[in-house]
Amino acid sequence: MPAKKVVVFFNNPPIGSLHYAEGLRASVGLGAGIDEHEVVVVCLGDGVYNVLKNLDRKEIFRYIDTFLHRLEVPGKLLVEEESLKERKIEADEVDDEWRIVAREEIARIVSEADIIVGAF
Amino acid sequence: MVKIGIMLNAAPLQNQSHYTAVKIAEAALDKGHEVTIFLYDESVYSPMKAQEFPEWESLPRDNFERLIKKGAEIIACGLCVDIRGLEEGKGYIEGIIVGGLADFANVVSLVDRIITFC
Repeated sequence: MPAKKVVVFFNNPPIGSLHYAEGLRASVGLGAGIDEHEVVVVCLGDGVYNVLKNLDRKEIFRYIDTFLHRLEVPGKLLVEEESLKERKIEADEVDDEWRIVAREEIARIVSEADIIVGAF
Repeated sequence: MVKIGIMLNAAPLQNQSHYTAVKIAEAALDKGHEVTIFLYDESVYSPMKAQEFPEWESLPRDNFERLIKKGAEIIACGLCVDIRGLEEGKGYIEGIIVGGLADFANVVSLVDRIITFC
């Protein structure tokens, strides 16, 4: 089977549910399967609170590390610029692992994706 | 014929997700489409055999039994099963596969669409 372009959406905040950790685990699993799908994680809405620099990441750091560096096809971590602005979160508050992209760019990525998984 | 994957994350009695997912799956199966359901997080409680509630005609496990009879494949995330003490799905109804995220990656390979219910 061919690898697919998969977008995984996060729109829940990090506190109050398991969505963040389990969503990242699923994202790693999608990239680590036999077909090595090309996975892009997108945080938007209240999901942007997942990208804050000072967030306690001890439960999930290994997923981020595997997702970005250890997969055959490394994943991408994106956060929507407009959602950050709406919540008055500045770019320097965003952890370095996440790339800030405009809503228009996310729309383009979605339009090119084969599969959408969301939202955690 | 379309191949549909459903990722179900919600607990069976937490909100409307279980029933909505079942209705969509059943409608798709009735129209001749293929359906694979991947149970993730709290949804792994859904196929437990020992569910009882006298006033309900169709409990979550009954819904899954019906879907399996109609041809659905249902896979539960093994880590989600184990962390909840469900003993590798020993208490599950017949026909539930206990697998892992590699199976979900495979489902993504095979299907035309994924629908997620949180």
